[in-house]
Amino acid sequence: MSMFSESEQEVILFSPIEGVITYEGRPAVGAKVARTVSWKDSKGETETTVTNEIGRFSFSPKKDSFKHNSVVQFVAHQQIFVVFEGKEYQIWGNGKLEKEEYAEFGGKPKNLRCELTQEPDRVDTKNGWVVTSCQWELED
Amino acid sequence: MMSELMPRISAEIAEDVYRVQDAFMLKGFMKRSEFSIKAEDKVQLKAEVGSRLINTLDGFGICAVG
Repeated sequence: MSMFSESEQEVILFSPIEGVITYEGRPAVGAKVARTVSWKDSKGETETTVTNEIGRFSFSPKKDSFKHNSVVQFVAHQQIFVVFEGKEYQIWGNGKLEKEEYAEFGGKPKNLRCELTQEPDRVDTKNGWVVTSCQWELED
Repeated sequence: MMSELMPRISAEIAEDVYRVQDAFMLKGFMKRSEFSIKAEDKVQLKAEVGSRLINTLDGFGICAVG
């Protein structure tokens, strides 16, 4: 087997995510949430949803397959934007280097909440770091 | 004079570069303690990477005095 040989495997480009978006502590009802992931080109793919009456949103996992070889670094660039009351906020940015589910959170997250007035900041995780306005705990 | 980067730190930074795609992520990258001094002196380097079939602009590197 050559060091450059390829074996295709499933990769998680963006793990499932669900949480609550608030503005000044109150649910951001009817906010438009756009999740973008790009890895094969700079354009990427975007999915959108709208928060419900308690500000809750969710996205299912985004998966693809990747031909792994030793000279290519897998990276999925993740972004989440929220439009609320006519203003756009970026609440998530990450370069996901790991192929596994929930790696960007450092584990399976729970109680994820994102405050739009919170300036996005670096959050260090078990596997790396993200820039986000969100907070979460990890399931046991 | 700034001390030299340890090999482990250099490796972490080399990996972190892949996470940076735009100014939003650059802000997180520059939060590393190694960049805490003169953090305002920062320039994002970009280059085309990949091949003819797959190429893109990417966060390319970081220069540090050492």
